[in-house]
Amino acid sequence: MDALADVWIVLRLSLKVALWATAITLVLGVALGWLLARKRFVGRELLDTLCTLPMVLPPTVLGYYLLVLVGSRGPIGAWLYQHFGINLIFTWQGAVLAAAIVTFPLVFKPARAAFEAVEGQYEQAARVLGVSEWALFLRVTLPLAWRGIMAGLLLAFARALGEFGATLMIAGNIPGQTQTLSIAVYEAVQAGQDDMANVLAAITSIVCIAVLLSATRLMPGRVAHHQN
Amino acid sequence: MLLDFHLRNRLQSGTRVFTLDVQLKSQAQRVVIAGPSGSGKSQTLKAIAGLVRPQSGHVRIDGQTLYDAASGVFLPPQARRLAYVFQDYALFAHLTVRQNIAFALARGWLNPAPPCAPPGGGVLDRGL
Repeated sequence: MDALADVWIVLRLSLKVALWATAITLVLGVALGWLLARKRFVGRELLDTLCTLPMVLPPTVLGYYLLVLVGSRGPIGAWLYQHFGINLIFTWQGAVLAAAIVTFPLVFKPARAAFEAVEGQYEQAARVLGVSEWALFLRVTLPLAWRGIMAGLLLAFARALGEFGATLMIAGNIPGQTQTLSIAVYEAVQAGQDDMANVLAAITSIVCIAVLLSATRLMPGRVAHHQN
Repeated sequence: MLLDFHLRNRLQSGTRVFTLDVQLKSQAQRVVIAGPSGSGKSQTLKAIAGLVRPQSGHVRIDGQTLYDAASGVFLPPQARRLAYVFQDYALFAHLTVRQNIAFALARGWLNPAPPCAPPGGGVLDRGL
């Protein structure tokens, strides 16, 4: 069946984009969350505010900013093309960039809160026991904070899967290349293909419900065995 | 063992100021520091362990300098090879009893692996 194959292509692309975006926000969000929770520096709260912006800015505005920055004549886009021959506009990598930036606050905010909730005493105990700074992050800080981080990650994944505005502005709507679930739904409705729209909408809803259920189970406070 | 330290540290929280200025030189086997709550006992111990860095002074144990403000020496706690028991123990809540005990034995980036718990579960392999 042709339609089913189309749905599969769209779903696979959406999952690919969402997974990559979540992986990027995992690394950058955990790093920034730790930095904001543990280090004191000038402009700390300003940095927090700037990185929270994608959560409140309209996705179209965000997409426009991205287009201006990474477009072929934008400062970052021109540099990328000159040095690496990379073009992000109208590619699935562009969709990853859009989704990563939109979901970034969903990861670094809970990560910051989770790191702030880890008592410094545990890290100090590890230091006295001779454990290096990198190792104590992996052995103490991260395991104690992972619940909050995981909840944020799942939310980010669900959000990345549904990202529409910024993705459309930067990656466009190319079937098989940049057409993700939410964009395919939009197109199906526009074209009057109600059956297709129904299937796509149902798939998106099921995936999002599954992710949200897992996120609720992981939310900090559900299991309070870390507090003593 | 020759314990020799002089610590000066000024802590400020809002308008409240606490000045720690404590000096001791002793060859005794055991040293007990006693004093009312808030007199700086914990601050002194933390400074010796390297968990806080005082503004001035020095810490020497058997001639080895752990901290010396004048020459800028400050060994991190990892390099001091001291044992420190926290007031409320600071046991790792994400690890089992056995993993807590073996924590410092495991070098590297991973915690000691939790062994396969025996049927019924030995007390060592329970969570805290």
